[in-house]
Amino acid sequence: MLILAIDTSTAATSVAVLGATAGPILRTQIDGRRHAEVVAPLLREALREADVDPADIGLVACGVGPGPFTGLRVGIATAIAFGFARDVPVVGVCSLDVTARAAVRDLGTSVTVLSRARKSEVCWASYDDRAMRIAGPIIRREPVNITGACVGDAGPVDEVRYPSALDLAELVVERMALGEALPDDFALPEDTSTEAGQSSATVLVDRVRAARILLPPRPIYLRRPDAVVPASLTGGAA
Amino acid sequence: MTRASGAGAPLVLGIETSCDETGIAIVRGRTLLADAIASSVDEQARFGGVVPEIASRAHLEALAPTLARATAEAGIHLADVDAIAVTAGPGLVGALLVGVSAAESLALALGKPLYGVNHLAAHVAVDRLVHGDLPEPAIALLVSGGHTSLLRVDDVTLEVTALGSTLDDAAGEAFDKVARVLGLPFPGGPHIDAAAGAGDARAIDFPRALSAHRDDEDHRYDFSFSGLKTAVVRWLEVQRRAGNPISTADVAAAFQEAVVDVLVSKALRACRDTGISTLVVGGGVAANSRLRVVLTERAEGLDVRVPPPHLCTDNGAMVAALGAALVERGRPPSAPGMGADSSMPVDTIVV
Ligand SMILES: [Zn+2]
Repeated sequence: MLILAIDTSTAATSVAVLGATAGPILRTQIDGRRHAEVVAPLLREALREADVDPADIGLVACGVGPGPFTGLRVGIATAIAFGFARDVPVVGVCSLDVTARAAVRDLGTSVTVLSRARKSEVCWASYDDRAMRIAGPIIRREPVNITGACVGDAGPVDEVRYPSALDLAELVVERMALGEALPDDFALPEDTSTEAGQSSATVLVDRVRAARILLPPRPIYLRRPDAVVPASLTGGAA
Repeated sequence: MTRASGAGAPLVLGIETSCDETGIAIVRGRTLLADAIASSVDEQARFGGVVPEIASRAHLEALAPTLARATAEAGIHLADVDAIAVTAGPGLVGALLVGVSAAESLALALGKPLYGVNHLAAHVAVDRLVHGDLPEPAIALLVSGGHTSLLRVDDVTLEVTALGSTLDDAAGEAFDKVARVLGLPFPGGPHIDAAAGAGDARAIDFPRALSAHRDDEDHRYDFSFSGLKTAVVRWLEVQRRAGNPISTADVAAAFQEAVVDVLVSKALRACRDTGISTLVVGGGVAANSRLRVVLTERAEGLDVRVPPPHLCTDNGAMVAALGAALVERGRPPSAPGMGADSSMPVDTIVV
């Protein structure tokens, strides 16, 4: 099956086509402020290079972060719309898992992946030497429990790495081959973490913790929106 | 049948995500086939205004379900659309980017042309779904929580010129702020409108900004509403301090009258000055009942076009309507990778 994969969870916009006769195609551009301008042209290029028609794509995979929200949503919206247009499934994967998979393969050790959140914070997760997540994803000022080599795009790391859409596509294929089902629960709670109680982000993190690799195409936000209820609306003076 | 309404008319899907409404609609020429909308206004209400991050999250959540609703309602196959149109600006950048990314991807996956359009021109174009093609040139008055603009429309697909706009708050913002000081819920417009129904608009004389003779030169078509809001706040303070009873209905009515008076006066002045006899009104504030009444009363001899309230607020239909007009008039589509422009100027109709 032909897979189209997209990740915009970091400064890199990464697009891949896997399964084409022309071989695996990867297109990446690093520009943390222009995901929206970059992703469609990269997609077009990747499909052309792979000599693949959009109608041939059988599955769309996207990185669901964690990562800076605006850029992250560009990739996920792109994936959702492509899947809708071609009537094919769309699956999400934690972007740190993608970076970890490649790093463990290349370095042969356990790793901790750090990814830039915003301001002075990082998202991080740790992986064993089979690239299975053993801690995180969590957002913190500093990572704790660093295991093995430190990779990612937020210092200090031993090696700067971005999630590659080709690793993302391969990870999805691998998990499907292992029998992991595609998530069909597009009806996760619509709560967008503004009310007390379990938010959709929390639900996702629980799934991630439960070692589910294949996720619905929804951002792992790990943070509620910054929003303050004005004093005049909290029942005080009006 | 003309190309704009018959079977040969272009089938266009329009996406709007510039603020807090996720709107996806499908038109065939001037016929609206489906208008699906999801709003995060209830989540925003507790913050007394639109929180951009909440809006952006809600757009992404609503994307697939709203697309599904629009195509099912229209009873069409996506493969049959002739073009995709999307609001490329102005608006909240994070919110715009959800719609633009989705539209780019749909266009690419379906092999269709993409039009990244101006939100304000779309507010004008939506009227063609109700009253038929807009006679051009026309004057457009666009009033909402995000914009207050007076435009000259020579060709809604090509040439729109700003005559004036607000120097500070948008008219809808003034409604929200005054609603808040009166203890009415967000969004303020409908609540003030309802409260004003039982009030006396002449009970209080609130100021009409930029309406003095000295403003005729520099701000002939401009608006300002922050002073009016301050005047309402001051008036309430004085009354409370004096221990006078306050009639919310009278304050709402007098405030609303001041806003409506300025909007209508300036719009009619623009028509008279230019000799243009068509006035089209759009934006959420165009749903205001008093604005509709005063326009009808004072716009003698003019062709005043106000779409029904659900088409005045932000929606996908307006974007699809403009998209269809662009296709009908053979305008070139946008280039891939167009992105979004949160401060897109009004004279840019397609990016
Ligand atoms: Zn609007």
